[in-house]
Amino acid sequence: MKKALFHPLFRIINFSFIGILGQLLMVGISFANGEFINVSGTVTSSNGEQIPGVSILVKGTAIGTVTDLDGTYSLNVPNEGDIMVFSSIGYLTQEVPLNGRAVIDIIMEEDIQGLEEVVVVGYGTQKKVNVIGSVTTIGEEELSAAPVSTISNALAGRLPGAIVQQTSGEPGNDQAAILVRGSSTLGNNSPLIVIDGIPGRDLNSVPSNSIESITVLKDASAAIYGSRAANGVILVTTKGGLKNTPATFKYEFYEGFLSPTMVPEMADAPTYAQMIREMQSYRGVDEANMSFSLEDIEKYKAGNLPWTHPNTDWFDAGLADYSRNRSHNFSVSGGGESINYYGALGTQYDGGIYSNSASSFNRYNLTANVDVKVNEFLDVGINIIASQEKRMFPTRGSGTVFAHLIRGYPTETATWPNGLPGPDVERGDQPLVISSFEPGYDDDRRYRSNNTLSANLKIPGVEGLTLSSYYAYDIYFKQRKLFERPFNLYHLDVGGYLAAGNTGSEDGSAFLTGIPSGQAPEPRLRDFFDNTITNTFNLKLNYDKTLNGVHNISTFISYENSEYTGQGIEAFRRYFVSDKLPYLFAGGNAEKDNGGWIDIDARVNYFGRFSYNFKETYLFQFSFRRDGSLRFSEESGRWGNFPGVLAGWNASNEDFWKDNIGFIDFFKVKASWGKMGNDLVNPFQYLTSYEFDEGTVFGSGRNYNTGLNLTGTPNPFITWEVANVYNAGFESNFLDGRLSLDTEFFYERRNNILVQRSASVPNYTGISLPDENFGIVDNKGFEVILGYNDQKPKFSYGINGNLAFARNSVIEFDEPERNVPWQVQTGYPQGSALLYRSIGIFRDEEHVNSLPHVPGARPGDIIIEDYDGNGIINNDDRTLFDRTTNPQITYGLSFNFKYENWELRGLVQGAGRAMRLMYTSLQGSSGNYFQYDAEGRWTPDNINADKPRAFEREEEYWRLNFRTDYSYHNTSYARLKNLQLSYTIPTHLLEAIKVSTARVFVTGQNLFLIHAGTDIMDPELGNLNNYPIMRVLSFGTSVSF
Amino acid sequence: MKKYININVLSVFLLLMTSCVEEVLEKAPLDRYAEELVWSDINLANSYLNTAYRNMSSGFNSNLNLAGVSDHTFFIHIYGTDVYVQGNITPSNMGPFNHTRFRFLNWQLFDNIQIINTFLENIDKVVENTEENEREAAQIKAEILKGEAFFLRAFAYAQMARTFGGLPILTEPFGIGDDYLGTARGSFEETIDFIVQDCDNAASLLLPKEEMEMGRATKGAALALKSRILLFAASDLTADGTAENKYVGYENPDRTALWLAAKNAAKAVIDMNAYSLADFGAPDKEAVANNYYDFFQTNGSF
Repeated sequence: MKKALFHPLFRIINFSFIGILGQLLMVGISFANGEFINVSGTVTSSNGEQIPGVSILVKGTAIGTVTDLDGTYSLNVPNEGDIMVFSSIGYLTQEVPLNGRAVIDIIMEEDIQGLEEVVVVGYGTQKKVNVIGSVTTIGEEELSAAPVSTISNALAGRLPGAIVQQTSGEPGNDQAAILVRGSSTLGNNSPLIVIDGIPGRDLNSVPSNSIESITVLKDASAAIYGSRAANGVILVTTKGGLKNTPATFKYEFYEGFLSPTMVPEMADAPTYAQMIREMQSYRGVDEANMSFSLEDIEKYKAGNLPWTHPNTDWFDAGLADYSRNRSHNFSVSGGGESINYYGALGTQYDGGIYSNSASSFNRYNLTANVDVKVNEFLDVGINIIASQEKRMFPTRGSGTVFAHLIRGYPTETATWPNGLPGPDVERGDQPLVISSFEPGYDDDRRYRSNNTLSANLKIPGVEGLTLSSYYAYDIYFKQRKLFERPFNLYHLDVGGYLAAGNTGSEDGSAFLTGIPSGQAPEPRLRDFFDNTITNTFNLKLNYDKTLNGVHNISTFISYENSEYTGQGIEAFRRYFVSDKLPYLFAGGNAEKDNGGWIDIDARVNYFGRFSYNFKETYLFQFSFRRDGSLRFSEESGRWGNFPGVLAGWNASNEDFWKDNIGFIDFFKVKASWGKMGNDLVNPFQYLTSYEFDEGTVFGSGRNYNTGLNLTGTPNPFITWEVANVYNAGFESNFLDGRLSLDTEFFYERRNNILVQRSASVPNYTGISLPDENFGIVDNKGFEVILGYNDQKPKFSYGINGNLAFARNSVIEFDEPERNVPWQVQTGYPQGSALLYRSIGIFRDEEHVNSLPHVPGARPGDIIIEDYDGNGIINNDDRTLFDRTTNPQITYGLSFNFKYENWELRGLVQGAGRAMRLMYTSLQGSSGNYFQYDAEGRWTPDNINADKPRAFEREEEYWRLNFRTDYSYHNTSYARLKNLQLSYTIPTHLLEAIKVSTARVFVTGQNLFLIHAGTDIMDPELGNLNNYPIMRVLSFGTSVSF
Repeated sequence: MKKYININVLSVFLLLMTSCVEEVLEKAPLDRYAEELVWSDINLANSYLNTAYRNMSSGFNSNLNLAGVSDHTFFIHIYGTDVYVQGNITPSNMGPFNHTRFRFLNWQLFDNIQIINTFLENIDKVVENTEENEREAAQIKAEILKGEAFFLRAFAYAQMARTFGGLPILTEPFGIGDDYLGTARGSFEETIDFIVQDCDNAASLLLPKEEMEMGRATKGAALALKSRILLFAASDLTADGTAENKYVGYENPDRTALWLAAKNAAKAVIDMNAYSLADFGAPDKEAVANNYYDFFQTNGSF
């Protein structure tokens, strides 16, 4: 019987949208024909008060109403057997079968669940109302809305205070960079990722389907992670099964179409040729020596001479219209009396956008969580998160491909009319060819198995005392094969072709010469094998107790240690006779090469937490952690102590509050201080040691003799960075919980940042000073979260906005003395650029002479402000710009509307106060111009321009030596990040095929930019040469049975 | 029974608790050698000196060479050559002379002097720390390596003395916290004397060419370097009595003595009877001279 069920199920999923619509229509008709039964009643609360505004819906239909001010209702119901659904915010939803009754009075039970909601905090969970740290959580619904393969890309705009930037869209490399509350150190700003309790695991190898929630700890609540907490902590919890629940099978699928959100628009051939002529004329090149004649420009415009005068749009030629992605996930969860389980298998595929693409990403995931209740006292758990990832890349990185799509001359051919590839600009980097399998491939496979065994023992005889422990064994294995081979690019013998009487439109196949190109003159292979193993052991003694019903105590002490070893080898062979067997043994014997590496790390930690609250009104928490790390010397610096103190007051629990300002349903004020560390610095800087150096050649052989060199100058006192983080804020609910407003302010001072003193040692000593712990950075800001959620009979909706601001300033980094006060970087954000200020474009010679200018300036050049007013443009005229590539403002606005079975969810996300260098050096004679540079540029005929003249590479002063803010673009943006329309298929349609719920949806990710600070590229992209960010349009389904 | 199991589990936990402790932190890095190890193994000490060889830099193997700071060529990758060619060099902007590709004549050679001085300070320890049955062999090898180190130091000083004149005379490695500014610049004369002294030390320890591995400093090389620097020192540039100060030349040169020293040094190399001018297969000396002349004069011959 079951087998037969799958057939109609899959038909519905894949092909039968029309069928479903047809059935819906039929359902509608049957309603119209039926006899209605009038049902009425009163809805009251458990203490007898009538409740207005309760929505009542006949399940599986659009029929519904709402209770009036007296809590009464009346409704026409089609069938005697229908089920009525009563729901209201703050109360548990109830489903009541009609069973032929005409009067149904209902007592609504208060939804304790909302109050009982728990949040994952480090090493435990807490009731949400009692959380006093700065903690943000998102759940399954938000996480699964984005059709993306890396979970980090589902987080932007949803976690207030987390800056999530996707800097590349390349399959397998498109993970977003996450900063919690901006950057607070001159060193490494990466937050700590904790997956199912184990620190340091990889976030992006876990599929969103298996994740139950993601929580970010932003303040002293992270202090329980001690020396790794300063950059914030991101806690990921995978799904588990519930006890005493029947097995639920779930299948989720989507398929998407990907295309770039934005690619740089480049000049076309006539424009490019014209600009080169202009550039050459400014440089005094006479007509006879110009690269392009006026006649050439006409020919490029005409476009009918593809052999001699093509007009190539390299992006158009090099990129396909769309690529695909696809995800399948199958899971089962449930539980019995003594065992509960969750298991999932999933696959993910992302295709590459190149027109002949060698790029793709495949991932297989396995998640298994099993908890067994051994007896009354002992629980044992097994948790496995495994993945296999296969990344296929071309031999040349996407950075090179996109650099050459930008650089490619529009006056050269991408593909000859006969299908052969056109020439390169240099080094064989013809973007259409190097993005394909033609030059070989870079096959990168990564295998992860994260395994945790845990036990939880209730100590008999002592109520509330438990001993728990886990041991995690995480294996990571990487295998990479870089196989390269030569390929041909075809150059046209233009002279011969024209001499034979051709004009440019006739076939020139006979005049094409194939030239072996690329990085490898013969097939060659480099194999890499790397593996890392991380062990984590934890032991924890937990005690929970409520005294006299009012004093709630929860406390634990814990010991943890972790060890890491990573090692790898690589081997190289060249002179393969054939390119058919890409294995080392098939290579030649000459010039074989190999290498290896090893790396270790270890930590020992002691920590504990004491949480206390009085009637859940006065909240207090203290945590303490003592961490030891082998990165630092035993004599000094190895051990550090990291305390955290948090206090809160649930003011709305007080009687005076309830009596006077009861319209504010919930109000909590909170404040915290924590001292945390950051140990993401190079290990063993305290040791005097000698590492391998390239060495030198002796004797008649051609081999290097190993060299050794000192590993920098040791600093025996080196230790971790220390952050003092202060946080204060409030959480509030109004209008029966419909409106919520949370606000937080923070201030962080990061001390002990590793900085090299510049107050220097003379060069003749031959030593460079070691890093020392004396840098200081301040970071401050706020977060505001405002939400409104409501539920009407057939309609529910919510709008939730968040806005975060964080600005850091460098307080101490041993800044050398500056010539002029406005160049002092202390006090400015890290990474502030020191630039000349552009104030316009020189109109003409007279204009040039009327203002201070760089020697050699001519009309069309950028006017540089003489900032100090001394009449000359020199280094002193540079000023600091406080915007950097990290936005100071980030915001998100999510919304959802639910009408009957339809649901629309969306997210607008954006960033502000950021800028980035938008610049590529090889423009002019060695590469194409941006259309941005072409449009509205200065020419002798357009002297009132706001963009400079046609230029040559970096030879104009404003291109390199006197770079101005003109080369930087505002990278603020706002985009419709996500939009999902879904339809839940009515249950009664599914009963026949034993499906309990089924949902179909269409989703758009990165749909469009509402606002972009720059015209050149997507403002979020990390670099002009990066693989573009993708817009995804997908459809999919989710079925449970 | 159940209770029994629980107590067992508990005691296993406690056992783990007491045994795990902090041993995991007692680890040394595995990808590098500790200081004590390097200075107790002649082969590792030898490898350290290999780095000093590497840092000599030749000036021939990089795409930036001296022609790039002349009027003859325009160096397209620039690397700061424009600063020099346009006459804009300042103490804070040395243009190409701070570039690593010019390290064969710039201050970056001081990095190599620090390496060599570190080697010279520690090499004697290596012999002491070597096991007795291998000590004699280590001693012999250490003496030669020391000779090579003296040569390398003389070479670095000679390169910089020809570029800058007098230099601080450094015989010990610097450490953290030293009084760096207390080191004075030596006069040109002191610098030349120091180079000569290093060359003499090297020559006394090094073996002739046939007994050394190709590419290493030899006795002949040490004597040749001495001859070369003495000839330079005796020349008009530094020894005609017009030097502005003692750092750029001899203040009161005894020209005869200088020429004589240069001559004697050259003679010492010639008398080794190990070296002669190459004849490139030419029949007589005149043909050699003409070939040499033509080599530089013939247009497009290379």
